[in-house]
Amino acid sequence: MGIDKITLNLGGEGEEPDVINQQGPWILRENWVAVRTLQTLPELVDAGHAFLICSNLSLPFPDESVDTVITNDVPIDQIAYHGPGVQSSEIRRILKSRGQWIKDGAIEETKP
Amino acid sequence: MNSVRSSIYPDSTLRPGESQKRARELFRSGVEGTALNWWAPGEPLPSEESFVLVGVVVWSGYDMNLLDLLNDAVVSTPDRELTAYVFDADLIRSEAEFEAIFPGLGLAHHTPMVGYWKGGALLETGCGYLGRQIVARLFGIDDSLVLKRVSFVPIAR
Repeated sequence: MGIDKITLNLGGEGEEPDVINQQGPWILRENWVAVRTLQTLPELVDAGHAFLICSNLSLPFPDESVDTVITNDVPIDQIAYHGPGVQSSEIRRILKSRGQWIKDGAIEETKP
Repeated sequence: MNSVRSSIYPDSTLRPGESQKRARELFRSGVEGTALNWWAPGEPLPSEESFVLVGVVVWSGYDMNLLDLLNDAVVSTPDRELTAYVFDADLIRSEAEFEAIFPGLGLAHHTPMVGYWKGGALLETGCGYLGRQIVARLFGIDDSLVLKRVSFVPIAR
């Protein structure tokens, strides 16, 4: 059974349904909780949310393999207090042609 | 009321990374244009008898909402003997630096990082949800309002 469409929420904490939530390694720290719901990582996983833990600098997806990238309230192309933020170059690399970057609820870019 | 968010995101035509970079450049002046006070890491702690120090980031709609609520609260009750200071949490590079500012804070997993000092002693500190609750309680802000965010959706590009 294949996956029809891949939607990746960079910095996601389970606030969007049916997506892969990407987070940095800080999410593995013992007292980490989601900012919106105060749920721990095990609680979010138990609730059915999928997580991918990796650096923002190199997302483990092939070029042009992701249908939609979502970013909500995350640093973009900045060094944040917890490390490098989301990289717009990585978003553009992994998006399929006609794939969309949805930033804070609005279409930021549609890849040509 | 002056809004920090609207003053540091004046140009909706910029790309997200450029917009956030510009917002950080404008952050200090944006805060100083309100009833809030600016503080920078490395400076001595404020000298007031009672103050709250709040570390926030320009890319968080929750933090931008909190600053506007905090400013409104300070403006509406000017005789409150409690001063609010704000700093850019993205200037901090390690947990040790946060711990040096807020002893006992622990893992700084989310903004805002908040401390409440009285008589030279740090009485309370917390980050994320807890930090927002501390600010809400001390400044008489409705709990439910500090859990909301302002939108970054561009008006036009």
